[in-house]
Amino acid sequence: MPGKSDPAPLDADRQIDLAKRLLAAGQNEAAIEQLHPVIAADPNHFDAQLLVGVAYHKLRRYEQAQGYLEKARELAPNDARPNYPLGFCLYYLGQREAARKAFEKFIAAFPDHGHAYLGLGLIEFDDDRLDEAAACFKKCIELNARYADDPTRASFQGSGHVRLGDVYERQQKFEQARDQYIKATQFAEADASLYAAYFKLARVQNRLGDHEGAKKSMQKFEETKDKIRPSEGFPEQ
Amino acid sequence: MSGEQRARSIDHTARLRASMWLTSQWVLAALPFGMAGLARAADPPALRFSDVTKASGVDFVTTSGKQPSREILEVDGNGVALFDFDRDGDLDLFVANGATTDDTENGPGSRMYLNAGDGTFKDVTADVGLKLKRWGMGVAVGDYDGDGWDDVYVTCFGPNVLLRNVGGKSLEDVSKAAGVDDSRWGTGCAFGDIDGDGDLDLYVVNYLDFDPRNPPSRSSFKGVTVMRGPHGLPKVQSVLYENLGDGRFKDVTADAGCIVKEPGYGLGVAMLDFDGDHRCDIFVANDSTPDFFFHNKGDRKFAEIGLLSGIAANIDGTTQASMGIGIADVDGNGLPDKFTVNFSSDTNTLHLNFPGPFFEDRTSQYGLGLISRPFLGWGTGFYDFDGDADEDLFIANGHVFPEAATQNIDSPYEQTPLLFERHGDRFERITDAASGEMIQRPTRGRGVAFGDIDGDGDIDMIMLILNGPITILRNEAPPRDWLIVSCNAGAKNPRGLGCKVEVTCDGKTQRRWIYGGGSFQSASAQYAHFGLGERSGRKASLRVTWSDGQTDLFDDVQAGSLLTIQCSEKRLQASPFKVVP
Repeated sequence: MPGKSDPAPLDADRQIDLAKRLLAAGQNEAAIEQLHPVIAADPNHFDAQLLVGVAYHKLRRYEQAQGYLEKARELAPNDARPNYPLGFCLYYLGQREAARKAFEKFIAAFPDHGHAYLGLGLIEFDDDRLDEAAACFKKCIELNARYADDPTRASFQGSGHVRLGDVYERQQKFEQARDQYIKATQFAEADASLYAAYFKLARVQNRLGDHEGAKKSMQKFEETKDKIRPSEGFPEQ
Repeated sequence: MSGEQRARSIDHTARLRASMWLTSQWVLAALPFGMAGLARAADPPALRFSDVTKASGVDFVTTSGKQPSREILEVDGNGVALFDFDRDGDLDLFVANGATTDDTENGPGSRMYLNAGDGTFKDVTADVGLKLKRWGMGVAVGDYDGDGWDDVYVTCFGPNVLLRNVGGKSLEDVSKAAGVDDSRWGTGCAFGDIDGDGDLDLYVVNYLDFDPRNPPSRSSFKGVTVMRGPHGLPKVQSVLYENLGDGRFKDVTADAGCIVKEPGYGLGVAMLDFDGDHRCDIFVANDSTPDFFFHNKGDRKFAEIGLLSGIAANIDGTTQASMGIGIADVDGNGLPDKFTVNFSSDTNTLHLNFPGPFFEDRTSQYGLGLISRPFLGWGTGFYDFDGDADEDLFIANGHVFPEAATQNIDSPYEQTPLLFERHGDRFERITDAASGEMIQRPTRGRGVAFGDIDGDGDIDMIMLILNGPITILRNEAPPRDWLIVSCNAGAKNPRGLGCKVEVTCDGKTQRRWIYGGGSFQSASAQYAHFGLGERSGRKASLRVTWSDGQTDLFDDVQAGSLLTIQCSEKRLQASPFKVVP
């Protein structure tokens, strides 16, 4: 029977559950605080490793996230879930090929998950493989469109249109690029993080000689960006 | 060759004098074929630099506040210039040195070194009367008074300083008389002829308003407590000065339309004709605020079209922390493309330039995107370091936060430079130690100036390290056919700022622009440098487009030369105040 001075026994399940709710609320650092004791008690706790990795990923501390996500992947090689956030971490750390493999593993396990196609498309775009990038972005749009009521999926669908527009723009197909950006702006109405759609739309409108349209789009770009602009900080903060 | 062309003098004097820095590669190249073939099997890579600081005699540690830095004033470091101060045919060295926040007016002082031509430099700071102790930041070089001697402008934390070069003997402070002693915190600066009157005007970039006696509270980045800024600190306008031709300048920022509604946190500048209309435009690299593109409309009027033209932000419309600037015709379409280096956890950005002007972010297409995310870049430049007829790329890196580590913000405090070799349509990062120890050495890189310091035809560099030694990096490229073209556009612009130089050789045309600014707070040698490939004594054709749009063609130009092309005085005199159509 434990004495009065003994610490309360760690309830890993409760900690994990609390961390998940904190993550959902955007309290990433608090979530990490809940999870560290779990990992300290059991470094092979898959869920804790995965969730800490996700939290660091959300904090954009990709190097730290990578370590936890790779550990999670090592603990459960048949569970493909760590590969999705890991793919983006590796992408943002400039490790293109490792990121590609992570996304491909995730897609193999979850073929109807459109988000990973977005990541894969970004890598193809970075490699200047435009047809392959376009195929990925189209897949991202198609898969996410099946769940139109889910705001997260709608956001990814919008991102897919933005990136497909990028491909068309680089191919000098300005009308097609404009159409994709217009579709993306429809999602930006609900999700200001897609403000780039207006900027890009203005850019192709200018290229197409629609300078009035470009001015309006640029105004919308500024308005939408202002909704999420941090009061201070550095890029990516 | 036409009569007019003949009227121009082409100095074919072989300036590639036998350097005392000859390396074993040069000797091996002279061996009989069989032996050279054997030697090549173990040859180091063509793209290779060695640190020759110690042998150069330059033994000086720059000052930029205290180490480790605590305030934003301390993190930008200093500027460096490579120019021929005494007109003896080699590149001399000026270093704008800083001070400390305790006393920004009295630091160790800026430095002037003369190139002795034998691989060493001599500190002539006292000899030339250089007494600049104020916290110096950026450097621009230009013969503002048209006396044939390159002058030096230094931005400072405090009143900026114009140093007139008196016959290659002394540097005289003429800041007040010239009217360019702006006391705000200046960073980048550049000379360029904005009004086509032949003389050199001046653009001075200002950063922000900072009081070292009352520094702001600390801030946070990715959860790490760090210094505050630039966000949260007041922005200030930059300044455009028109050269009045009598030793004075006039602030024409407002008249020219260069006052912006929302100033940026300015750090860098490049002055050149971006759209081929023969007017000098101004690109300003801003920290964490949209970059500016002042499009020269003629008649001393500019329009800021950064966002509209697409150059102000990256592909997503995201504002970046732009520092150094590189200029090159990366896609070969005849227009100068713009490259900026940025903060960590962000990519550097290559904007291709299309007629309009429209700029498109094509960073990823050329392999310069993801690879740059862990780095925070400063001085940069496109040069054909290995002489294989395309331009490579160098970037000096180092974080601003001493607290930075890969473990906490994905980016270490001390960082290696990035050296890229151009391969076809991509830039490939060089990491092989055989390319030089310096590319594997993490440091606190800042300003960089480029030029052929040892007169062997390839491009060397001076890299400044924050609160560290001036570092001289000698290019160890094997023998190549090189061509260096210096354009004398007349007495008012003897370095030909604003000229475009094109060289065609073996069916390939390369272009360079001679312009003010670029890199970071630094001034590189003001000539056009070309690599033409393996040494074979080949000939090339050369086209110079002067800043007023007139062109001159020269055929059968012998490689391996430094050419000085003299623009006729007559033409400049005929249209001294002409606004170029």
